[in-house]
Amino acid sequence: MTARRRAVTLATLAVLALVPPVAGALNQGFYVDLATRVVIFAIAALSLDIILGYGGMISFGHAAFLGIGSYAVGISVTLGLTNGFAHFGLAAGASAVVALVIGVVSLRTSGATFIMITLAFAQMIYFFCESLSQFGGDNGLAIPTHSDFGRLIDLDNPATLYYFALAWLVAALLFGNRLVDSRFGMVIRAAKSNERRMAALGFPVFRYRLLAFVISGAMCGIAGALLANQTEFLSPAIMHWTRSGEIMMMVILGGRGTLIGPVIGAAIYLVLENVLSGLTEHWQVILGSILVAVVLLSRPGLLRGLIARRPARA
Amino acid sequence: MPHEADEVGGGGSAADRVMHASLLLEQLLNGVQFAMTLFLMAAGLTLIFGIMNLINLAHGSLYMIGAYVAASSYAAWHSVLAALALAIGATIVVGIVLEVGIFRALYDRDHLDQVLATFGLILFFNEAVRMIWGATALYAAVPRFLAGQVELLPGIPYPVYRLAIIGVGLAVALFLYLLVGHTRIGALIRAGASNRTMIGALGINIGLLYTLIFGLGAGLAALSGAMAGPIFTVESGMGDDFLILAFVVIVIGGIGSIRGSFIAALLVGIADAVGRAFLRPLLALAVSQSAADSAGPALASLLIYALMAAILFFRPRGLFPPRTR
Amino acid sequence: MPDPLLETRELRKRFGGSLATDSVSITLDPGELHAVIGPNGAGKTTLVAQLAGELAPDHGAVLFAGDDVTAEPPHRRAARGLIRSFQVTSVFPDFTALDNVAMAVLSREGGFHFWRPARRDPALRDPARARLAECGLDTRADVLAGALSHGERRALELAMALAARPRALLLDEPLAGMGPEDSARMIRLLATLKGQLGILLIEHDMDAVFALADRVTVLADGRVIATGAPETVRRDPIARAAYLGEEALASC
Repeated sequence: MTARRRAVTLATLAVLALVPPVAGALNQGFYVDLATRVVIFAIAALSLDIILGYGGMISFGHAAFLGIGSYAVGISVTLGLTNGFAHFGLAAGASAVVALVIGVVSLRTSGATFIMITLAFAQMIYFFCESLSQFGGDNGLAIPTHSDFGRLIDLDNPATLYYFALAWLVAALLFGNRLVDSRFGMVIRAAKSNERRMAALGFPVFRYRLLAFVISGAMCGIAGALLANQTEFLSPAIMHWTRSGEIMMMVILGGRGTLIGPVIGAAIYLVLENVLSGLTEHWQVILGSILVAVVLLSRPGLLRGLIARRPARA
Repeated sequence: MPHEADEVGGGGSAADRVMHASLLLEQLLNGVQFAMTLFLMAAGLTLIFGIMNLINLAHGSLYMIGAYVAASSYAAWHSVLAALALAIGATIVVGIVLEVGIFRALYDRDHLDQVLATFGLILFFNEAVRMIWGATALYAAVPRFLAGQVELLPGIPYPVYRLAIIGVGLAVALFLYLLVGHTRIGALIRAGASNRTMIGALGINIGLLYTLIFGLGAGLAALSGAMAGPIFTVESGMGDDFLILAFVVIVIGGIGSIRGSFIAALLVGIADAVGRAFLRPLLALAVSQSAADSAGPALASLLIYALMAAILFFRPRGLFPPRTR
Repeated sequence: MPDPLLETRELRKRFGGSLATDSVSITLDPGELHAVIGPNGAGKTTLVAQLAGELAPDHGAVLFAGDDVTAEPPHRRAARGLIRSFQVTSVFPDFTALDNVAMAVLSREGGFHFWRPARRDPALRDPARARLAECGLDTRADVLAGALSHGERRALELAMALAARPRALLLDEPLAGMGPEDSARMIRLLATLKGQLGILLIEHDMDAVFALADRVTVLADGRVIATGAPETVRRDPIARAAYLGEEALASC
């Protein structure tokens, strides 16, 4: 990690860590709520950046893993299982398995076909969950209790939930940064740069990409489990393809291939959405226009130029 | 999956009728009709993606604009011609404005940037139609002279309107076949679909060609939306899921191939109809009727995507990819 | 007699109406430098693609060290030690020259390592630097590959190929587009490699070919029309007519 990225990362984490005390001082408990949402989507966006920004795999179905993670918690609670470790283990595990299946089929394709096939899988999962009438189907289902970690962590408390999620974000950043600079990460990044070359050197690129895809999916599944705890509601809407688009936008807004960029992108997107929807009920017109303008007026990512040195170092 | 507003004749899912040939024929025709609306979307999309290499998520918004303009025009003046003309005209205008103002800058950008920008357009238009027409769904009436049913075979009634849609779809398919296969513009389109850089080298005014193609795509999307209005709900966001299905169709058919999108649309439409017809009663045998009622349509949609995944697994470039670039 | 390192048997590939590869049977023995020459359109590129595994032949077999690899994809052949360089330079433009070669060094390791930073690992950097030095690029190690000159990038291609510890090297026109100084350096380097591994050299540069080759094969219209020691082939009238004859006619 470059010095600049490290500085940005630490600064961002410092700001995030201060949200609950600041919110408390301003008597705006809502900020903690919003910040929790930001942190959760930051993890999701970060997980996507690993395969998209570093690996060049444009997966348009990442919201499916958010959904699987959520449903792992929701279904468990409905069936009487409240143990937090079980919830998060199931969330990551189920997401990993689904990512494996999707990856085995999709990673044989590339380009636009890959985008569409990942999208298709996400839609499949969306419709499947919509058909689960005993878990709410189309309307969704309230989740009566939080994941139970005993007296260690009481997720009923919003501030605790927030720091719990933030801890996961820190772990994700730490792991992600190690991953992309490791031998494994170098293979993924080189394969993005020149796949043909990698094959000519003897690397089984498919295997590496599949593993990266699985890791990314599991990470996003964790974000889903956190989301279920935060919203206390289970709904297939969380994995609609437009959600995948939003996550992708957070990655692009913040600057792909930087890990911390998508975290900031998540913050920008969700805060913007929040501020605008407070200003007018027609906020989507404004948000949409802003997105178009951002793309037309800037190159790679809004913040990538600030976070990454130029020319882009590997 | 768009929800059907009123069952324009036909329908019914009592388990004992599942084996009737009349129901099967009806469902097949529904599938073909759905396929025709899909084809109109897909044809434009495949050209735009194949020739301009542009992922345009806002194509569904053009469909939506067509539906809204047609529905409200018909409600005001009760003239099918006026409704269609206005719907197609307005959408083409919007499309051309978008093309000149925004998409021209996107052709050279990578797919991610195109996704982001067109996603922004979806948000924009979804809200814009709410601002203009309100948040509640619009009622789109079936034109009077197309209302009612006709007996295809003794004892098998079928809505005239749906037959009209099938007719229009086939007519457009024929028109496109003639256009692409037998005109100079068509030759340019075919060349562009298989080798984009080549047509530039031929000295053709690329900008104008692209704008024309985009306009054609917009018009087709508007026609699709206008006709779909009475069958599916005219509401904000109606184009989003339909767009994904159209993308599925063009990927299955082969990007850049109109013939491919026609056949793929038929595949998807019929698979969808058959799925809906048979999945619910089949499920009802295993689970409760209410569970089958809610699970059936969702699983039918799931089947479509499973079909696409299977086809792409064996033919990553689709069924009829244009000869390589 | 030991197996040839690389061997094709009756390789055939048809494109549309014509045979791009017509019953080509050639061998590469361990330690020899075998040059394949031929006019444009002779089918050299198609042959290389079939040797590397990017193209499946219609008929015939490709063997590596006695094993039939005809059905194996490129990465499996490379893992066995059949390493190629590309005619059109194919490197990692957004990586430094050092990182490029380090990737080639890495290709010989197995397993998945997720934690330790790779770039600063001496186990990767040291061999990479050594290969760069051999190819005259030691001063350019920290330059992005995309910023290197054409000749430097060709040298980088070779450095990467060498770093992958090949048993057999498949070099596709390594001297293409190189100036005289760079060419001379590369020819000297290839000369030092002779004997250590098998090299199949596809080349147009006749000076290099006749300076380096132990054996020369002439390809024309997809067929082998002459093969043998360099001097023998140079004097072979059929070979001259098909290939060298082009230049002779041009100079008339």
